[in-house]
This record gives sequence, structure tokens and C-alpha cells, in this order.
Amino acid sequence: MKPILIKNANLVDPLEGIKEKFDVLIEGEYIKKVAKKIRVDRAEIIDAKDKYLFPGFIDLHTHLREPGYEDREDIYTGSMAGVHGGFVALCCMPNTDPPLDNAGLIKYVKDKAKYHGILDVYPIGTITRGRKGETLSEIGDMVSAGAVAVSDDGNWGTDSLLMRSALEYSVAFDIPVISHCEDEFLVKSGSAHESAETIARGIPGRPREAEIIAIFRDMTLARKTGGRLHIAHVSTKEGIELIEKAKDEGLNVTCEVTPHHISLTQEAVFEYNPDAKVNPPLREEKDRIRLIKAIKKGVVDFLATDHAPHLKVDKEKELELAPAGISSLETAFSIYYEILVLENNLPLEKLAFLLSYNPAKFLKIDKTGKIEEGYYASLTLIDLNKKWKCDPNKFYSKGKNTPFNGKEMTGKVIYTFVKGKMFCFELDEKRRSYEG
Amino acid sequence: MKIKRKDLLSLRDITREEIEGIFNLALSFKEVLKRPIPKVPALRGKTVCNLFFEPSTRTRSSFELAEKRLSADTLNFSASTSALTKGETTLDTLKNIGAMRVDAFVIRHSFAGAPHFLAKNTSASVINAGDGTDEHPTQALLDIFTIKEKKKKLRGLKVLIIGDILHSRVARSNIYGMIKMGMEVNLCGPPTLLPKEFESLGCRIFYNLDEVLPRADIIMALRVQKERGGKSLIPSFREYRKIYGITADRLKYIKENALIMHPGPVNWGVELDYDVLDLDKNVILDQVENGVAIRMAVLYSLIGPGKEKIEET
Repeated sequence: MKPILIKNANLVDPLEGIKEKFDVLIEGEYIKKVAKKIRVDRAEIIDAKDKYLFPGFIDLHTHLREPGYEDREDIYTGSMAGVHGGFVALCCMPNTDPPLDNAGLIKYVKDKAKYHGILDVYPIGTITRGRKGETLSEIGDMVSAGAVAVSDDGNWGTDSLLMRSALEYSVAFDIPVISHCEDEFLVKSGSAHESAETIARGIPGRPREAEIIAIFRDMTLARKTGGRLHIAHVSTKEGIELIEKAKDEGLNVTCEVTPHHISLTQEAVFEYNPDAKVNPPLREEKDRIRLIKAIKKGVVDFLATDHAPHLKVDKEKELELAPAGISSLETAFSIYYEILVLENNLPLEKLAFLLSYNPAKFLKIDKTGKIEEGYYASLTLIDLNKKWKCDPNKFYSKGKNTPFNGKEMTGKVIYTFVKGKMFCFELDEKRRSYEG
Repeated sequence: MKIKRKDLLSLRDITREEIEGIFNLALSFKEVLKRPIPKVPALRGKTVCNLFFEPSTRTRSSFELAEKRLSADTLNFSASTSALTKGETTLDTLKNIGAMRVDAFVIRHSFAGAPHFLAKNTSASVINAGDGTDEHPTQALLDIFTIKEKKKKLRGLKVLIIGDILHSRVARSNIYGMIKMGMEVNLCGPPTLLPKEFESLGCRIFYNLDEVLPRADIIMALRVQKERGGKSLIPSFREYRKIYGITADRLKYIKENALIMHPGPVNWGVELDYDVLDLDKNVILDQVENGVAIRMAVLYSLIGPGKEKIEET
């Protein structure tokens, strides 16, 4: 393979900030050299003047839907959507059919991803067999097959003893237990945040208390057991404040925030728009503002997409019948950039920290998360000035379900490199426009 | 008068003038209904489909009669005998019937927002005949119309709506409509069925019925919805009747000229004692009677010819 030379890029170093106008030489799977001016005889040259090179993004929360729901997404299309969104690795949630609750299925997902060879997929196994919330899955066996965490995402699990056991048992394997914090009894079949506005519209609600209670229980159990608790998609002010307080007290807890919870509020569902239906639901402005503040203060450990592709035929339904979830991989970066960097002055390198460096560290992915010689050439090149319009028909994902349809976006991924393998979306766009 | 809107989905976004326009039309239609041949050709050549995804007696018969009194062709759809049982989606159902060229859909659905969703997907007019726990605009219109007919005014009247407000689409539409017409809306019910959030809609909230009942000009009891909520919201019907029922005892201290209303179907012996049945104050059947005229007015203002007069046959 010809070496690749990225010329004149602004490097986004998650720890040290922006390093202007550097060249990066990629040879094979690795970054061979990072320097001001690199000369080589023979290389594919990429002119990255005025562009920003990030360590490749890693998503802790993706639904790839395979096995079982390949009509919504499969490992191939989900991986392509990933690289299109600038991701070099994805952690996939186990709410498939059958659920990823044993070593064989974990291996199946890993092998399938390897066979496609697009990006790295790190499967998350279930906490309980069949995701039923009754008995523990064979967590140790799944970890040896490549599972990086366990979660019954989608469900919280009202059985506190079982959650205690999961947190306790997983200590032996040093893996995180990821919790979808919403008390099932309180949310029932709610389709939106519970508030005066949704009550006025007769929409069954999911009260914020469902999240607060769930976070409180799980952190209480984490404190007792010493387990690595990771709280998925925090959506409430009170929830993030509880986490902040627990962290201040030294609890080993981490959390993530999604693009939609920092960019949208419950207003998006006031007209019963199923594309804005997501669990936990879009909340209020005070929650949105508080989550952004927590990101800026460093309380939030990761940004994660909760990419949840659904079929159009399933989403084009009555709000209460439509499934919850947003197809998010291909819009995530632009939303983070607009909301966090442009509107709230988060330093660009903080994005790299939350999207690349910290997830790599969390998952113990070797030589990833920084742009350094000897590291994997897993990188994302972005044109921050590029304006584009969100058109789900241009998604690689099968899931066209997005509340951002038609939105003007700023900042676009133009190249993604996964261990030296190059995906170019700038040319791709030109090709697509030729094809009309 | 023709309303400048395609659909009637909600009373939240309707104006007082629109409501008054519908009432004026309903008055003329009520007169039509008293004729020996209670029928006008106002909607001749128009087709109205009654799309009922949820069971209904009053609303459905009322709409169908209203359509027939206006000489529209009617098409009746009920979920249990349709291809929905074969898994056809609601949207497909609408599109397929729409392809047969229908001018209006009257939609009853068990989920909030379903008519709004369908209205976006058809050029035909959509009338919300009750969507989940959201709204039931024509019911509220006929309720307010009945109050106006009996009381000769609306402004300043003290309304008391009692019962399961949380799950009541009738309550929501009435709250929106009544407040627009200058009425004072008080709500009373067990706290589990009456969230404090209703205050933000401009209502006052009470948990003690005996405290507010004597002051009410209009007493509207709602059905305790056995199918919703389950056991965690109220302990028993027996206790409900004791605390929130319009019992024979309570009838002694309601206002002399108060009206007792109920959107039906009534659970006699729960929200209303059977003693209410023969009272002059009981206007439940007047509500039902006015329903036809109100629905004629709504249909006419959405898909009627507009400028033409209501002709006699």
C-alpha cells in the first residue's frame, strides 16, 4: 500500500490543543511520522490546508441491529455510517435478536466486523440472559470473546439485587456495567418527557424522576460494590448533578451525553413527531443547558451517539406506536461542533478528548486516541467551515430517522482513516453529485 | 361562515370567533333538525369517511347522522373488521381510503396525535373525534354549546370538571374551549388523576369536592376509565364514589340552577348516582342531541360550499 501523506493539517491534540500546519505520514496501519514538513518520494498526498485532523472518533453507544434486525441496520451499513460520521470504532449494544448474551454471539459480531474490514466493532454483552432481567449472562465468557462492557440498554432492570451482582461480578473482569437509567415502572409506555406541555397534549410521559431514581440506585450500588458503573445518555439536570456530586466524592462512575440531548428539547415532539421520539426523552431547556455546562466543566466523560436506526415504515406511525431512537452517527459531529464549540465556546481539543482520547482509554484500546508516531493511523479529517444540509437519503445508515432532516449543518467529515485504510467523503460527494 | 382551516384537530389553537361561528351554524342546523324532513343538501356530492380505530357509540352515530342530514355520502370504517387486523398500518389505511377520493376523515384513535399525524398525510380535511388522552374537540364544542343554550351566556360561569382529568380528552378540549369563552374552569379529582400541571392551562385545582361543589354553575362528571391507569391510581370505585361521586347526598347542596353534564358513557353508581337521571339539572341527553347539530356545523364549515345558503329540501 502506498504511504499517505496528509499535508498542512491543523492537528487537534486532545491534551495539548491545536497544533497548526503539520504533516502526518501514514504507513500501513500506523502513523509513521508527525512533523512540520515531511518529504517522501512516493505517497498519496492529501492537501489538508485549513482542515482539522482529529484522532479518530470512538462511539460508546451504537445500535448495529445485527443479528436479527438487519432490515434496520447491519454491521456493514452501520460501519459505513460510522466512518461517514468520522468514527473509527463503535461499541454496539446487545439489544439484538437474539440478544448478545453469550460468547458465541460476541464472536459472531466481531468476526462479521472483521470480515467487512471497515472499522473496529467492540461488542457490549448483555447483563442478563436474553436481556430478560432475570439471571446474569456469562459475563466472563463474553469478555474472553471480546466483549468490552455489559449492558441491558433499553431496559434499566428493576431488580436491584441483580444490578448489585452485575456490578460486583464484573469487578473480576474490570469492565464497565452500562446502565440505561429509567425506572420502567415510572416511564411505562411514555412517548415523551412528562411536563405540563406534554400533559396538555395528552402524550403519555416519561418523568425526569425515573432517571434520577435510577441513577441514584445504580450509583449507590456502585459505591458498595466497587463496580465500574457507566451511565448512558444522561438527560436530566438532576441526573447530571447527582453524578457530579458522586464524582466529587470520589466514586468511580462515568457518563455520556448524546447529540440530541444537548441540541433539542421536548418541543421537538409537540407536533407528535416520531423522529424526535427517543429514550430517555428530549427534556427541557434547563436540562439541555445544564448538560452543556457539565460537559464544559469536565463532568461528562464521553460524547456518545446512541445511534438507533429504525425503519421508515415503523417510524411513520402514531407517536405512541413508533419505536424510540434517532439515527445519529452521520450527524453527531456537526451537532457537537455547532452546539458545543460554536455556541458554547468549548475548545476544539475538548471534543477530541470526549470523542477520541477518553473513549480509547476507557476501552483500553491500544495506540489510539492521539495523533502520535507509532499510534494507529485512525484519524478523522474535518472541514470545519463546510456547510451542508442534513439529508437522510445520503446516509449510509439504513436508518433515515432523524429530527435533523433538512437542518443546515456546519463542519463535515471529509476523510476517515481506520488503521491506515482511507475513506474519502469529499470525492464521494462529488461523485454523488455527478450521479445526480 | 367557512373556517379558514383544513382540519379540526384541537381547540387549543382555535379562536373564540371560530367557536362562535360554529355555534351560529349549529343554531341553524338545530332548526333544520326539527323540521319534518330534517335534511339539507349542503354536502351533496361530498364524501366523508368515519375512521374509527377505537370503539364509540355516541360520537360515531352522531357524526354519521350529521353527515347524512347534510346529504354527504358516508363511508364507515371500523378497526375490528378492517385490514388493520391483517397488520395494515394506520397510515396505509388512510392513504388507501383517501385514494378513493374522500373529502373528509372523521378520526377516532386511541393514541394522542394520531389525527394530527394523518392530517399531514392527506389533502382531505381531518376532524378529530377523540385521540387518546389528547382532545375531543367536537365533544367540547357541543358541551359549551349546550351550556350556552341553557344558561344564555358563557362568560363568568363557574365550571367544575370532576374525575379522571389526566386521561380525559374531553376535559382537555373543554378546558381550552371554556377558557377561550371566558368561563372559569375548576378541576376536582384524586391527585393521581389530576396532575398539578393542569394549573398551567389556566385552571384551579381542588381535591376536596365538597369544598367546590356548592359554588359550581356547571358540574361535569367524567367517566372513571376502567381501561386506563390500573390499580395504582385509585384504590376502588367504592372509595371513588364516596369521595368524588355526585351522590344523592351531595345533590342536596348543589346550586339550584346548576347543570349536571357527562360526556358518556356513564358508570352509574360511580361518578354519578342514579338519582341524577330524572333531575331537570341533568342535561346529558341535551348534550347528545346538540352533538348532531355541532358536528353538522363543523363538517359544513370545513368542507361545505361556504357562501351558499343552507337550502331547504
